[in-house]
Amino acid sequence: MFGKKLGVVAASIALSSVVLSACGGANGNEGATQNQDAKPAEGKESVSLWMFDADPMYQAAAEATAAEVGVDLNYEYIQDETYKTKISVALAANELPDVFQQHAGKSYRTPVLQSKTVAPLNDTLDSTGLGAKFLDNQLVKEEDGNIYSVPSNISTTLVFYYNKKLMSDLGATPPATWDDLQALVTKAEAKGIIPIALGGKERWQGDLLYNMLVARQDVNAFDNAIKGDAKFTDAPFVDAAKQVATLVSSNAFQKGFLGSAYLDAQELFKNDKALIWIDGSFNFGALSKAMGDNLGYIAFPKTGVEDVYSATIGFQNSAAPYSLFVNNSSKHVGKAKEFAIKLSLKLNDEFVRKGLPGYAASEVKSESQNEQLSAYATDISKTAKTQAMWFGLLSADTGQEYRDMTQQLYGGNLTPEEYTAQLETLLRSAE
Amino acid sequence: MERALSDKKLIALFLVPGLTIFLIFYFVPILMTAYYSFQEWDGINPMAFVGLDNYTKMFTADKSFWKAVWNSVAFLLTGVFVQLPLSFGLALLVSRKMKGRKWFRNIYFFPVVMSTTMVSLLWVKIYDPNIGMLNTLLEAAHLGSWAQAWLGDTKTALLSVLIVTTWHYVGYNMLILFAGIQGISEQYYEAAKLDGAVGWKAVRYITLPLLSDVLRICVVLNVIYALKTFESVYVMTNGGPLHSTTMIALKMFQEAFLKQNFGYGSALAVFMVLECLIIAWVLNKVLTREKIEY
Repeated sequence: MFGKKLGVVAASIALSSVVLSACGGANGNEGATQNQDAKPAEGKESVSLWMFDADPMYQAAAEATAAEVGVDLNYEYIQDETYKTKISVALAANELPDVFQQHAGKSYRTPVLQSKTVAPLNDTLDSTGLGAKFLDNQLVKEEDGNIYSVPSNISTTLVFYYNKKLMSDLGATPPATWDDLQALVTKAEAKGIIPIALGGKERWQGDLLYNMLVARQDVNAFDNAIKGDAKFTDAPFVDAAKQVATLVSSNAFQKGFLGSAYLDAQELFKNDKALIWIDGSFNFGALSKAMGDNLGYIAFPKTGVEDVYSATIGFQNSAAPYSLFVNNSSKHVGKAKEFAIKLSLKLNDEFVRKGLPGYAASEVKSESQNEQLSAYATDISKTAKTQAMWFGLLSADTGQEYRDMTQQLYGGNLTPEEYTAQLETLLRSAE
Repeated sequence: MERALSDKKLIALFLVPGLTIFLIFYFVPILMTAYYSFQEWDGINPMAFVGLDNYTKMFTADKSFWKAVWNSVAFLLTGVFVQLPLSFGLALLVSRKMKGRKWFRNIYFFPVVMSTTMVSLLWVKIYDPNIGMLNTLLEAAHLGSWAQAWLGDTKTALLSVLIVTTWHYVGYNMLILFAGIQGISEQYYEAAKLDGAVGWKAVRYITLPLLSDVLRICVVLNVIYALKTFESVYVMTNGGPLHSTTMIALKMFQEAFLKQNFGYGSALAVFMVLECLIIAWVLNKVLTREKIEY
């Protein structure tokens, strides 16, 4: 263990001596950490927690849980993109906090499990009886039969938001089909309104939009192709790539979208400069707060042969959800386990209070939902399939290559045919 | 004291602690990085020796590597042939005995005091094609056709980043050159004046030759800075769009910390270290000349 730790620390020092002084980030608050260093009260155990979710709800829930469990909390919020780097180094060097959050997806979950630094939670889940509160299949049982994590977020999906004021100014209605969407793009562009705001710098929004367009062509296209029953050069992939190319050539995205950061692009939408915003359902609360009744929502249009309720794109998959893990080297591993499980349930209560479907039983009553959120909840209940975003099903290396490649499609460096041919090579070799 | 300073063994003894720290925290990690560059390693699972595979991949299969090398050359050339002459011009200007020269000196130096992250974020906002100041000013000046998606277009992204780094560091070289100019005795200029060498001739035949050592240092510093550029690119473009602004240091970071390819990331780090050492050595050889004295 010591050798590996020394190796990673040395590699990190050497590699980062040139670069890490700038890990301050590409966005305004990137790299920002919010560390509440509470001095442990006498006799009280302390638990350190790393989180990447900026919603104040997380910190409030963590503080309430710490009080309930009777520990001092050292809560550290780390901006999302910085977190990905920090956690991978901490994992390899076994410098983890007592409890930490991890992103959804295989590329993030596998290294955590392979590092053998996390503690199984089965004993605490059983002894406290809290395990029974989680709904079926919400606790991921790994190959060795152990449960190493508890959920830290509900299932979130891709959402098609629109700006009601701009839609009204255009005298248009939200698009129901691909033709509608194209017509709307043309109309908005002619009036000097950005049709779709897209943060191309981080690449994931474009990636998810392509996943969605493929799912609308054939709901099972990805599953079949990844299993080897079909190819990534088949019609659904090519047709969806052509749709991306069409959107780009018709100036559907803002000028310079490939260099736009996600938060900057979001500002265009919130400030009535962009008509459509493709984002996760996790942003309903923040966008509703910022835009009020101006925020519109529809199920993603029928851009292919599949119905609007055939599928949506999920940010997590059942095997690798957003999770809380406990460091097995924690000085207070027992308390840390109890804290993590109770925090997961406390967060579940908060989601249920907001009217969202939780991952565990809750006695909390739902507050009234706004119109858009209730429409979304209804649509999700009607949706037949949640296709996990492809990136989450790939290894870190392949996932990054895939996103680079998709950005080349958006940038016009690859034709739809070239893109899908390269996709076939990349994903087939990674299989 | 004098006897102690002439005792080489004693001097060596005093140097040991510093040298030990240097070796442990600087030299050993570099050697270990070289070792990792021959491994396939994700930072978690056991390493696997792959020989020169990472280097073969770097030179033959990784398309964005050569883009990064070219971008480093672009940074290097801009640093030496654009930034340095600008700095020299500014140093000459603020060396003149004129009113407010201190004020100008501080103004030109001010960007250097600001952190690279801050400067980069500031320029991201200025360059924003939709709400940024630059395009708004161009449109107000009826030059709307010049408006660009500065950082979002592969044709303009590198140039846009180069402009920012030039603006940011021009004052740094200016200050070094200004100090050099201040060190040139006034009597040379007076003697030259008698021979009819004033204005540009004085600069050409007095200032430049006597500044050669300072200029050499500036060139070496500029070149090394150019080769290891990371912060400004990371913040402004993250190497995009489509790798048009990627740099070796940025690729190293992405490979090691995002893709978890510590082995390949280490190979890139080794390349960068060797590249810096070789170019610095060549520059020292090429630019070293006999000290000029009048």
